[in-house]
Amino acid sequence: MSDLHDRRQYRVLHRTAYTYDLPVTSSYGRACLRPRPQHSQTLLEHTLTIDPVPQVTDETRDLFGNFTHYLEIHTEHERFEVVKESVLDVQWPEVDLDALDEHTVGGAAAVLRQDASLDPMEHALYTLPSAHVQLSEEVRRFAETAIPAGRPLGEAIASLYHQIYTDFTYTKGATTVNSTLPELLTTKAGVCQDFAHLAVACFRAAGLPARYVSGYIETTPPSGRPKLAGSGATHAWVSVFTPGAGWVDLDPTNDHLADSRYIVTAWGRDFRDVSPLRGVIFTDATKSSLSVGVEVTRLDQ
Amino acid sequence: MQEGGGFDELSRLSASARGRTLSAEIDAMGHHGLRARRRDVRRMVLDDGVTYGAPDGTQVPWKVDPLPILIESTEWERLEAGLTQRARLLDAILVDLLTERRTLRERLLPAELVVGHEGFLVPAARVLLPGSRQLPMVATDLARTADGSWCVMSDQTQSPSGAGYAMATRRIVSRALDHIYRSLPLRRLRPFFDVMQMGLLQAAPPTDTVPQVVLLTPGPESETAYDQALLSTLLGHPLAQSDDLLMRDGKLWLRTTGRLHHVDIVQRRVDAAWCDSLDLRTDSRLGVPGLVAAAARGSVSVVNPFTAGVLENPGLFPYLPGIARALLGEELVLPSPDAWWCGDATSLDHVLGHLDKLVVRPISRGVVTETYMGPELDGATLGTLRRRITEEPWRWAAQEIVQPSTAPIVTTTGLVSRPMVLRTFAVAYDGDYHVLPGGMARVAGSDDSLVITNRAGALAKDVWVVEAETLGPPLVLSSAPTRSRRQQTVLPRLTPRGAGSLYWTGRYSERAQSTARLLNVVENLVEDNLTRTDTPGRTAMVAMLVALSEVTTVRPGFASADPGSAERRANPLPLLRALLLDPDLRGSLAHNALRMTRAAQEVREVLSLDTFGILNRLQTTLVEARALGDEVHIQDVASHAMEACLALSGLASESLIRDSIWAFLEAGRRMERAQLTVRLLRNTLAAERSPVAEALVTEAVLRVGDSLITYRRRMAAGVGSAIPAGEAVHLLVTDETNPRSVVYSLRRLIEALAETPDPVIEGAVNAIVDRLGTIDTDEFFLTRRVALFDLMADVETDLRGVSELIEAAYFEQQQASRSFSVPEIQGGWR
Repeated sequence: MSDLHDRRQYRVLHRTAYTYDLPVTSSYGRACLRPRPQHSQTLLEHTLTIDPVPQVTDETRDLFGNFTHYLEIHTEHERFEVVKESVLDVQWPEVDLDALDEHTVGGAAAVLRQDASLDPMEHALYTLPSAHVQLSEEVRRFAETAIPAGRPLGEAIASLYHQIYTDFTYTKGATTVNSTLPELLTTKAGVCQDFAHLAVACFRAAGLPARYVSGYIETTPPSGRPKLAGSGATHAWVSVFTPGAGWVDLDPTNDHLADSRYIVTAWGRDFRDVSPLRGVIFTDATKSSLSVGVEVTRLDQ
Repeated sequence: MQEGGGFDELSRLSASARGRTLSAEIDAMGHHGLRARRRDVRRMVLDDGVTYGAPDGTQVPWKVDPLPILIESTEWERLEAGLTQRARLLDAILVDLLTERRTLRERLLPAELVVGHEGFLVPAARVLLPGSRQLPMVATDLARTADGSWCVMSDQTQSPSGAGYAMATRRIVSRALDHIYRSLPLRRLRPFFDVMQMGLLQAAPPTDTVPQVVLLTPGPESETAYDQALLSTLLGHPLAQSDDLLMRDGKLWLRTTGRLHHVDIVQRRVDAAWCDSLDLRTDSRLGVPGLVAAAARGSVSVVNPFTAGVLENPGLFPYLPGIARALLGEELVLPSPDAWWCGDATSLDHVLGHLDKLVVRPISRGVVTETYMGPELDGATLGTLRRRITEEPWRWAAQEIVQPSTAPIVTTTGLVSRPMVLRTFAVAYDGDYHVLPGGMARVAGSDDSLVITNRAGALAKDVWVVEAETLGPPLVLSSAPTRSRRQQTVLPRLTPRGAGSLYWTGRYSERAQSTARLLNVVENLVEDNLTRTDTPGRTAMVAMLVALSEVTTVRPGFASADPGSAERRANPLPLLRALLLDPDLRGSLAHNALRMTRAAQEVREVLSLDTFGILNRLQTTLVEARALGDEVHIQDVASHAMEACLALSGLASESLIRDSIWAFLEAGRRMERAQLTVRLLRNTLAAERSPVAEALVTEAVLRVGDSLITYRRRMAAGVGSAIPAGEAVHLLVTDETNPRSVVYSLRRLIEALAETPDPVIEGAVNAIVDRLGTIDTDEFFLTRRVALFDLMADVETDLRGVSELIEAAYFEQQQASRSFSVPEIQGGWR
């Protein structure tokens, strides 16, 4: 395997389609799909194609700095499709977790409360509970065992992604958009979104700012088999703020820190802030079916 | 009675000349006079239709005490200066939070106190109003402490309510005490609403035309629906619910019966989180999806801004003096009780150490308002509270408990003193804040209540502010822009929902009137014929009983097919009483009256106070009649109800200008009259009877149709048909000159809808009129009576069809909406 911290170039093709059993007369949407620039990546090309063509597409940046599109469609339709294509250069630096062991979890939280390197609003946004990250008693108990206040910070980060990876089963359909963390702690099964929320909750319970990151990863096929086109989906992981090293990205779904296979779209307090596509439709339709396809292709090999 | 050495508003009156005047007048009225004023006030509340939403969703009468609170001009000026400063301060904080956030970076304000507040809506945290002010409206809750000085208990910034109630209370108390009111030089309330209107217009996005403002309301079931409706009337801005608004081309539009109108400003009475199901609460059906995006783009101004609720925050209190110095360079004028935010470690220790002596609240007002009065809590509650605070200290704030001043209220046993709070109102206009001279004072509803809210049964008091002796020029009347006057002539904008409510108000009032007439006629027949057997009178009585239950569609009724009808015919009075008075019986007079009142309440902002006076008196009549049980005199009550309905139609025809409001009321009334007449005839004259019985039934039908006098005059003059029933059908169906006839009603229906004509509806109505124009009414009775039955049945079906066409063309609601969100799942690899 090539060096996971070298520079790479990727094309991301992300297609989302809804079909409805009856016509939709108006659709209002919010798309969070344009990858934001940050130290690990540069956006080279980006196109967004929407069918039917919206009457309004209005791009703004939200409070977290993400790009978001407001969409308004008044063309009657039974199918709604959004295709985005981005080309990026990606390179993630290696994080020295041992260096982070200089602080304990509790010590780091105390330092950050006074630290001027993080804006106070951001500190509060990423440390307080949020819609999908409620710090219930069960969650706090889990957090206290997973990353006790006295544990060295680097060690705590590694043990947290490893514990979630080992103790929880990756099961599509085990959870929904509205599942809660206590439910996840009972069933021990979920998808990346749930594992990211749980890790975020653990850091916040310990007083550390943590955010939910939405994006993609290059998926390596089982050896000897061709890569399946379009089989991918969006991915989600976690970023925690540390004294000294700043934001450190970790992926509890795959048991490691982020590396050059990780492409960032957006971040926020939790899924709700950065869901790739959501909206409100005016229709008599009661049924809809969703299909999502993602292809992440490496271009520099 | 509230004990304690507190401050009492009554004893304070002796301190000033005006106070002594008021005090002397109160004394002069004596107990008897005061109780009379109390009764006057209660009657006026009903006459004006002033209501408040009870927790069960119904509207209950507003509670007013006749005695006002008097505030001298010098004292008011001091208070006013403090209130405008507080408004400027809150505005400065909001501006800072939406832009530079210096207060957070310099740690004048803990970020958790802002970000952790439910009013801090992240998707809207960058939405700014044009201009320098971000807080156009603010209300302040005050109490007076033992030394007589005012102190701030809380701020209302989300969507301040109550200014309309203050105006409604003033209208009542100024009439109940008109003699005293006129003898004192008092500040008027009306100019404040002109300033509010101008202040709103100043918040408009850049536009070449007169900005269109709407007042976004959760609907007529809202707790403060009356307040919103009165505000809408005072400002001349239409009330709009979710269904009345939509987003097109990134702009907000008001749906009206004619077309879409671009909206520039939304004065919202819906809490911000519920205003947009796209970017805020996805489960809300009270807002408009896309509103946040439109406001962010600056194509619409939302007042107060979405994030203004973050200032409704008791945790802010300890930080305000420091922020006032930093942002305004001023010392805070108005004091507030000592306060602590538990997110601060030292404050947390203090609060946990004094939990039983403080009042504790979460920093955000949730769906349920939580207020913990330390001294009233038992050990277990204190323990739970302590645990909750320790777990999430940043969620909690505490205050020293204040013993508010007391004010006298009139009770059946004399004057009683109760704790009082005052809510004041301020609006931004032309660079500064302007305060309503007065406000809404509230006194606790019971002796032992420490909580003074309308839900807890509080009474409102008018607040009289004495005019200063040296008068500056009145701010508003001199500078009121003419364009706002012109805008008022463009109004009303009638939404499909509003038009529908007016149509149904018209239909139910006609239905109530007709039910009253039927009951009157039928009970009269019952009185004369119940004890007889086999007489024509008895036959007519039974025929009309059947007609009554068929026309009102009450089942089981008097028709022979209905089970138990024999017993009911033998003893009809219980069902007749139910048909008069039982609001739960569909088709009863009371039911129709209730539906009429509800429909009218849905559009109360476009109807006159007189309308609600009549509706409320009708309800009172019915409620009082219900209390009489079997003793009730049906014809008296029915006559009363009929008069009320006639008064309503009189108001509509004599006092309404011929705009769309009148048009839909009229359309509803005419449609209902046509349908009821057709149904009445089908169930009466279409059946064959002995000549004497038929004459009696014909007479009864003509009485129900209010056409008996005309009929008799015509018969006496030898005009018209020689066949009595034929002439009756002619009068009630085809006569172009009889306002009670079907044809006449249908022609008026088309006229009413002429402002926004619909060719399909017109065609359908004309087809009915043409068909009726070809019939020979005598022919039915000479040869084929069944043809009358068939014709009336056909016409009834056709009329229902027309009504459906009207509903689809003018009142159509938007499609149902629902939210979607694509979840994040990882494919393939692990």
